Amino acid sequence: MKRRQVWFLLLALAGGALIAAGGFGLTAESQKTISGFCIGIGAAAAVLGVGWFADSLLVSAAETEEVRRIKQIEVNDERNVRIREKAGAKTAKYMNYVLDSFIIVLGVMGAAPYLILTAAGLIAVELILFVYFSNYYSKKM
Amino acid sequence: MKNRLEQIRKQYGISQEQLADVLEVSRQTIGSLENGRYNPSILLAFKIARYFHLAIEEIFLYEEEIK
Repeated sequence: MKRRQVWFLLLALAGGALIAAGGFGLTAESQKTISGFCIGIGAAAAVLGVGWFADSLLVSAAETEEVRRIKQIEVNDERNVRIREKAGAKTAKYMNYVLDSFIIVLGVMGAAPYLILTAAGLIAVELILFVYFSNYYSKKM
Repeated sequence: MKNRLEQIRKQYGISQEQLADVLEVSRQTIGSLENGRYNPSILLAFKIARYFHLAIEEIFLYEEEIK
């Protein structure tokens, strides 16, 4: 088993463990929010882990040296890299608008303050990450 | 930026696939370069120039943008 596949399996297992912890371990009323987070993140991790593991099995069965080389070229192709970067940047930009609108909608709907603050926190996280990566790349490039 | 890549490639009698394979880029990249939709990195420009034994300026034609 390749190292990559072990990581995928570990991710799936960690996801399963989080779901179990959220569903069966954190049952008290006061732990409801944490339990929800655990189940949500656990489900995402489990699905990604299983999906990537299955994908790696399918690919490695058919993978030859030539196929692997072509795949590497496609992944590292500078135009494809630039397309991915541009698409990522645009997606992040529009997701920001979506998130802003979502917070306004939550406010108009009279949602609980912790929900609005959590959503606003996501924007703060995005801003912090933006500053961090801008700083990182300005030093690196 | 305009370029003479298609013309030069055809002079050498090689296909887009063959050129892409040598330069280790996708065929679509070669197509986009030839159409002028995509400008290569300096690294790829050097690789192309080296492959055809030409100077970069002989392949890629720099024109000042008129505002």
